[in-house]
Amino acid sequence: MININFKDQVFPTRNTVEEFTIGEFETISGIMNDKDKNTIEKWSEIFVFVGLPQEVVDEFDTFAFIEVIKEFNMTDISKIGFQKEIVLNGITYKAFDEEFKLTVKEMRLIEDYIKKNENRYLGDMLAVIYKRDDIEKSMNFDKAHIHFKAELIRKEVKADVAIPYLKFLSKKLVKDFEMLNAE
Amino acid sequence: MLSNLPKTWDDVYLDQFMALKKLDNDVSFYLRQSQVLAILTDTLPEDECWEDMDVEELTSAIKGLGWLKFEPSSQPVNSFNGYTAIDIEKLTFGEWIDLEHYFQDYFENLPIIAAIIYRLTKQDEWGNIVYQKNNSYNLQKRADSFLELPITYFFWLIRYYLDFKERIMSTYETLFEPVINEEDLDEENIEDYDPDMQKQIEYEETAKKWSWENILYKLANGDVTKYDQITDMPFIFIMNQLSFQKEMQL
Repeated sequence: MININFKDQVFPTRNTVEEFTIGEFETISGIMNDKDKNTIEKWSEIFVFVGLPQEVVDEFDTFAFIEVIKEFNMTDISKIGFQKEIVLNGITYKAFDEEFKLTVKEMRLIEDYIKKNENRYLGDMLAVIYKRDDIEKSMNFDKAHIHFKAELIRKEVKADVAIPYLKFLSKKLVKDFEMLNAE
Repeated sequence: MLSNLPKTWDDVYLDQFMALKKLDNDVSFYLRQSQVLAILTDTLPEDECWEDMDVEELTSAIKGLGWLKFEPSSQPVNSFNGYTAIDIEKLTFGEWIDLEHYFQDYFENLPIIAAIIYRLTKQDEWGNIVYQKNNSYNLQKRADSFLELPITYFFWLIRYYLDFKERIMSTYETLFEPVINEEDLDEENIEDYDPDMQKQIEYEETAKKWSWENILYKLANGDVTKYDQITDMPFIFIMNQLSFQKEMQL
């Protein structure tokens, strides 16, 4: 949380990945990826989204606004590790036992969700990764089951859980694609 | 499963090659890789062995298939298993027409193309090699029998035929010239031309569609009972005759 000071008022504003849900993080990512907006427009929209009143955002001095943006970006995400389990509605979902690995089926599903909506796939990605081990394996990959789980994850799971998987996947996808397309 | 993967194109069958060519490039990256592996091991991408595989293992397997990025060898394979490739210049007119037709999609039709080119042979009483006639065997059956042979036996036929066709088109250039050059047509719609021109354009389009049938018809003077005789004649002989007739305006 950071405190944004404006005209003798203090506005506590969330600014770290641990403070946002997956759904909120997806929305913020969507705003950042919007090619039709410039940088100031994007950040204005983000600050309004995280709770800063529109009139405060509109009246901010540009240089002061840039300083606030810098503060928003200060979170160190390199130390966030893989979280083995999450609990949703009292049910435990596990990502891995000893070491995180993805199967081909899981990778294909995740790729499909990314292709379907590149601004809104984190919930689906985590829904593929986190599975129940008290039901049949095939049920964990049922589309309706994944969809239901993804919506729960968007509401209840914090965004820091997604970061290590995001980093792993983006590295993997880029590395594999480059390797297979190298002459 | 991964130990069965082919090491070179020599280990890939004709039907596997055709399946690889048909793969949709617009699917997800990892789905495509599993499809490639499934084809090369005669399994299905949905089989558990692929779906449950660690993605690192899959990538490692695909890495070993780097040679797939290149085409199979175009080194001629003149004979195998008792079959010998006929010299393309010795094709009959009918065999040429068939090859022209199948070459519209040569990857899909490669087995049939191979079945036309590869024949059984024998020696006649004077020691000459005699090739089996095209209409004396079941083409489809022979094509099917080639499906589980290496693609490297057959890939060279594509370049072989296309080079020959280029030589034919060049040698007999005048036979392939259209009366109306498409580049000379300015108007987009045929209705914009005068009636005589419209008729000529329509005739040209119809003639293009039925080109070989048109030639057969003319050579046989419209007598369909003569078609077999003409299609059994050497293709080069027919081309020479057509050139002669065109030049002499017969």
